[in-house]
Amino acid sequence: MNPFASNIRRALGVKAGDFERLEMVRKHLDDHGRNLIPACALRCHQELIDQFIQMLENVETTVAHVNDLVDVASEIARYQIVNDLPHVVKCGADALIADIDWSEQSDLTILSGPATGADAISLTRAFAGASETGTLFVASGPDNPVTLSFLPETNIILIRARDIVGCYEDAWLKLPWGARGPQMPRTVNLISGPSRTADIEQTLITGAHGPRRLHVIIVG
Amino acid sequence: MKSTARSFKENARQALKNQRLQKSLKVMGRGFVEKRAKARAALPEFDALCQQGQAIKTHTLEHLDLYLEVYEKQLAASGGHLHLAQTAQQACQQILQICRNSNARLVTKGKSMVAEEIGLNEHLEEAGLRVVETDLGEYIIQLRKEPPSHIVAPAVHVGADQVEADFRRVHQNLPPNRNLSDPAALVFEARNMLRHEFINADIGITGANFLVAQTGTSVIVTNEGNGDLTQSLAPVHIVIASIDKLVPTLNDASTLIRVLARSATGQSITTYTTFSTGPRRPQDLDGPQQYHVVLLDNGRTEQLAGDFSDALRCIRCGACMNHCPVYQSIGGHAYGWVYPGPIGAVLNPSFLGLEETADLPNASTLCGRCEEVCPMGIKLPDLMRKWREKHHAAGGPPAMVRTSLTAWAFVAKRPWLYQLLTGMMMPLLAKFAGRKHHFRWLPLASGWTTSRDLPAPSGKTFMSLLKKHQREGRL
Ligand code: SF4
Repeated sequence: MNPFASNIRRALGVKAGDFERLEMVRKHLDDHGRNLIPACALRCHQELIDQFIQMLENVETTVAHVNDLVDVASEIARYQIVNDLPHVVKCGADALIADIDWSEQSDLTILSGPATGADAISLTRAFAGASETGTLFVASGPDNPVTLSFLPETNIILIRARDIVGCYEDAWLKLPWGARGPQMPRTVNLISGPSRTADIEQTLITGAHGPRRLHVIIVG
Repeated sequence: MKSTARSFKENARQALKNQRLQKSLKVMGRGFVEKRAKARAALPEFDALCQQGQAIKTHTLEHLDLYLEVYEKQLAASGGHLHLAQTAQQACQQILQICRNSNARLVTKGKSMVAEEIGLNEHLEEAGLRVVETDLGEYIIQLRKEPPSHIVAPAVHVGADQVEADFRRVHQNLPPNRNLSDPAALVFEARNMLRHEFINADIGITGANFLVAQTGTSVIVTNEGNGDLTQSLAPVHIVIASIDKLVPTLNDASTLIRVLARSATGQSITTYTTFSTGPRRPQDLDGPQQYHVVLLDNGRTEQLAGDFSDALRCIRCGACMNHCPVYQSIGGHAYGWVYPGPIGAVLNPSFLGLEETADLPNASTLCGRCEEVCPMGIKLPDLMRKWREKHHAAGGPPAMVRTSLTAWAFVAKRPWLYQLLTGMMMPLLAKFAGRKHHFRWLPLASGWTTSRDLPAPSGKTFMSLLKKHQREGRL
């Protein structure tokens, strides 16, 4: 018996096992009800993608939209050359990333595993993107170790166009679901731009403790 | 932290005289206010979302016992450990015990107001642990040995030149002639200094903006990524959170997230919003091996039953202080304890008692801006008024204030007397003010007139003007 719960019941003047209250809570948890969804999240898919890109660009993020997975390796190489970055990426075991054909990029080194302080560039994959605020949803696990999203100076995130949805609520639906709700990995990271701070005299500085650069590649 | 709320009036006087602070407050100026207004204008549903957010919070608080039980079950199912702390002292001891169990020496910390509330750093440091704040603002004030002065921007009172001086003083191993003249260089230096602390930490402590009952999840919202490095690199992640952080579902959390950043910094969402559930999974390659949640009551259950339960809806966005004319002119430290501004004036008396904090609910002009911008619809002026009433009922204000108020009430309740007296006073006061029609100083009111001029009356009362105009047939 949780002593906090009984104290709260005493304070609220209610009894344990009050059927109506239990039903109310059970219903609230079980219908997976949604609250108000902003209209900007309820557009057609093409508009959602455009808005997704716009929102990310508003927060100092670069976005490339390629037609096919075969174009990803050359896009990464292009991004590294333009930004004068080392030709290396570190990634996890994600199936989509595993399908990238690197054969044309012979001078690009692909490392795998979680990030260490020495890794300059990471490649991760978002399982969903919410267009309303240009937010990428990344699930931690062997496919996308969580440190890859935070330790390297540059983070490249891959997302399939069809995984871009309107609102956060739709993004949650992309996780595997059980009876009570989504089966949560250790962390789900909602990422909207490179790290930033305004802690010194309210001056916005891009690049705080997390990545200083974020590049998003939309596939399809 | 030790409260200085008792000397609020003196604190405020000092703050008004402190030119450095006044400069920083000016820099802060209307920034937050304008950014919030812009964010609100960009989302037509903003007000409606706030109302839904309030309903979610009210529903949760009314069923807090049940959601807490669901949360506890889900947390356990994901492999997390729950520790219930009735008091600040208990919470500190529980956290210290977890640190001892893993022979910890270095603790990294993300920003947490609840950790400030329980005085966690002092407790851990006294026990011999090294505690490193990793949020840039918190890092700066830790170096300066100061408490935060704002719940969202803890170092808002510090100027860039002061940060530079602190970094030169503390980062002794770096070349003394390095250039730190712009904020970006300061941020970069802090980033480099904190890197190995993250990697070498034995324990990572974060707060929580929300706890989700449905999934047993804790949520933090940040911009810097320090919270994520804190909780992903250390082998043990401890969350310190109070019971009012509970929400039922991920969808409910999503609604609140839509209004939190917009109210706080004017961002549509913070750069990082992180949902953490349990420790690393067996097949995971990184993340903490242990996940502990220390759940704090510290008087909140009692508050749930009393006059101030609405304040438990607070999501700590800081909008009320950003829009408060009193906060804008004295900053956060003058309030003397963890929570500044209007929400502090409402919360601190419940934590510290009215005797210590009686001045805080009076530190307001009751202008109503805070209530207007509070996304959780908390009627802050009403709650402050309630504290004033309680204080008065307990024989609170000093004799002079009581006598003058009683005298004023006697006069105000008798319109004929009121008009007679004010009619006599007006020409006198007008003369006293001189040609500028402003008082620079008034007997018995220097507390008001030192930081602002008081406009002088025109020489006639409203009632006498009304009668005159009626006579002349102008109305
Ligand atoms: S009282 Fe309202 S405005 Fe103030 S911090 Fe809390 S939620 Fe924000």
